[in-house]
Amino acid sequence: MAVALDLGALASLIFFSALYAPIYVAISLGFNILFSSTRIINIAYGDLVMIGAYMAYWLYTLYSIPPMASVLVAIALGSSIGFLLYITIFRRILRLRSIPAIEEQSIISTFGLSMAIQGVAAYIWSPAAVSYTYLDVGIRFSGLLVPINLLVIMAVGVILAIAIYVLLYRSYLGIALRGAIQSPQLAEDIGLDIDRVYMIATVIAVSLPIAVGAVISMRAQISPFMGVEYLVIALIVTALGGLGNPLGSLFGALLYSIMDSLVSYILPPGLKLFYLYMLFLAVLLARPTGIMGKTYVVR
Amino acid sequence: MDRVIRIHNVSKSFGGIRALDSVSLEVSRGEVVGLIGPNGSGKTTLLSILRGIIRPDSGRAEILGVDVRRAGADRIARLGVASIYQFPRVIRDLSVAENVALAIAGYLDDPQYAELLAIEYLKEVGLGGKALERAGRLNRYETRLMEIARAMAMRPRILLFDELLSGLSESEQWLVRETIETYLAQSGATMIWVEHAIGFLVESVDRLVVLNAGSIIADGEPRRVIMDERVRKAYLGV
Repeated sequence: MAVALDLGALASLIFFSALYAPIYVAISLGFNILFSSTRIINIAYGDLVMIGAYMAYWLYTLYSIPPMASVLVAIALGSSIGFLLYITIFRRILRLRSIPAIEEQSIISTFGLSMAIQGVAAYIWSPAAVSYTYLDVGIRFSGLLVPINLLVIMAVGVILAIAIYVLLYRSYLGIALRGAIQSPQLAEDIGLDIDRVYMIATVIAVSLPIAVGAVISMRAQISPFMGVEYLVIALIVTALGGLGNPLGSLFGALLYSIMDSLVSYILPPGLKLFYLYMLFLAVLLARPTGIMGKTYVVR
Repeated sequence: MDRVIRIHNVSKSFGGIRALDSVSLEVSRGEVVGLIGPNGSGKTTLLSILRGIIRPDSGRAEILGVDVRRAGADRIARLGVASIYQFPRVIRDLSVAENVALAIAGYLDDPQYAELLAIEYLKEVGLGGKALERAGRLNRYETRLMEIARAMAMRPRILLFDELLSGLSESEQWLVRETIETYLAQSGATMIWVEHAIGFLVESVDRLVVLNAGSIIADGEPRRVIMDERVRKAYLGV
């Protein structure tokens, strides 16, 4: 009886974790697209999630604008921030034209950016966490009570992931972006405006986490320092799914969410992050490009 | 005649090795120039400078009136310069048609039409039947044909080909050569063709330039150049 109860609890844990998988896909896609195409490692990635969460929080508490509508505002805001980030920081880093130099400089620059964003956020909004409730009521689903806001998060994750899939695999821009991801030098050599392609990759990679932040704000403790967790999720999902393989993010997110629920079930909460970092390290050591990653000739 | 390529006193060193030593060369519009020389003589370095991939240490190189120091590889490509490298370059996960259609992006902002046009270019090189296959599945010969179709799709004014024929069988080399000659006759494009298969070049080019140890040692009518004593000594070892 006890085993049956445990299995039931485990099954519901996996079910709830799986609901987060689409949003994890969306989180990792932005990180993956930017890194794969430009080799820029954006340490401030999680802070963009935080910006989106605060934006949705204030739009809802001040103007009663629902978080789903904030996603659209987030995409507009993300596009502007992405454009500014590209022309002020990333473009300069990309002029280094050497992969180790780009990776090194991007880590240093975006680490500084992350500290600056967190500092400014803590100054403006105070370090204390805030939260709000929206659609925090449950509906019955196969005997489980599922919060509606969690279903909304899942739905937005699915929509964002499909939108990125269509962009990458069904549009000309996507073909150009995939070309730039696989062989920046060839893309340049056949006359693609690689600067424009990189700018678009940055805009996508900044808009996505801000949009994700807007929607997950419904179920998150919003604080200036919340971004670290999402940076780690983006890193783990990308590593599991594979660098240079946007579709691999789907696999990585599913694997991450299942592992997340299993670890939560088996280990004390304090060891969860330790275990996930170990998983991350194990994947990187065994297969540096990720489980479904591809080895491309770059630059 | 219009000079579309002007290289004046260009030098380039890598570490202590002088790859190019005060090289000067001019190429006229529509001219087909073969560039030969022993391994390490500076052929690929010279093409890389013209493509905007590497910068000369000194001297001046212009392609279609643009100083290559001031233009990146993408800008040079958009001027109408198409390149094929010694080692095939292909975006393996895209279809063969998508690989070619990418090259059309520079002048046509219509994805569907670009892909149809790409298929037409592929038909011209005899690869129409493979248009929808993943490019990573092509063999070396087919990949080379796809690269030629991609170069044609750029509607180039200048072609820079680097050892296009290496790794191909003799019959494949003949077919590739025929395809290129047909294209050159139709388009009137200018070309610099680096190749080890001297016999092919002598038959195909208007002018033969020989590099040795970073310097040009002969330049002129192909049959006369290969009989030049310095060329035979430096290149053929006789």
